[in-house]
Amino acid sequence: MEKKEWINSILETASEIKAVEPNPYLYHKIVNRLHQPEKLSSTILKYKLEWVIAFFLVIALNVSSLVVYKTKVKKGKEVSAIEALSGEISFNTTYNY
Amino acid sequence: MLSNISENSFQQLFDTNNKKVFNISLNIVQNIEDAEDITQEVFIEVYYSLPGFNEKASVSTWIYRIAVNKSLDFLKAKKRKKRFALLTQLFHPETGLQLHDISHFDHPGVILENKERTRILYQAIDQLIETQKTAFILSRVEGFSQKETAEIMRLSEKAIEALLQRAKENLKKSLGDFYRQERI
Repeated sequence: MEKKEWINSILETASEIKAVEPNPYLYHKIVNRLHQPEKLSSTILKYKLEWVIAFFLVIALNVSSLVVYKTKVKKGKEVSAIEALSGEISFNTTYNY
Repeated sequence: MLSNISENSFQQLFDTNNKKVFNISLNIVQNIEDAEDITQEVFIEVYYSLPGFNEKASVSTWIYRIAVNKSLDFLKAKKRKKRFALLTQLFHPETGLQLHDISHFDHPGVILENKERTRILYQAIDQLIETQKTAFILSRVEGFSQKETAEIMRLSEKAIEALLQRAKENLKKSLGDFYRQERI
């Protein structure tokens, strides 16, 4: 068969496909599922777990930033205290020749 | 006793639409068991979402849209799993043409003399991008009018026309490759 003819014959089968009857017990399966208490599917659980982990990561980041900031402030205070003290004591060296 | 909507109403909705939903799903995912699972998922979503339904389109259009989306989501999830699987030979060693994954989809609604050609058609449909695939299946296989297809896909009729045109061109290209392959 020629290529064009063959391609057209394939495309034509699209309109010849008949609809199929689904499983007659589908409705009962659906109603049974609706009557069951809502179970968390593994997908929902997975997403909930991801959100929980993300939440704790954000908390941890904020806490660590706060700790670093406080440490810096504390060090800064210590440095300025040392500077103030050195100013008082005055470490200017004088050489007596 | 179902509480969201009356059982009679839900059953009526189911009886009116389940065959179409199943067939839309079947044509997209190309597997009977998967299509049945998706049909269940569609009507469970319909049950929970119906009280909030507030669209201009008809309920049936809305239900078919859910069927299309769930079927496409299923395919995306399936492709993600495939990506991690080992890929074997992709190209024909002699011709260098891309080999196609041999589809084993035997549509139950196809007469015996058309089985082989329909199998090839579904392989070619499977290679279309989502929008072209959906437009082609809804319009050419399911028999929806261009207007109905546009409502389900939430596109204009002109957009559907363009999608169908491109789908046809791409199908012809794929089928051309198949033709060359079959002849070797």
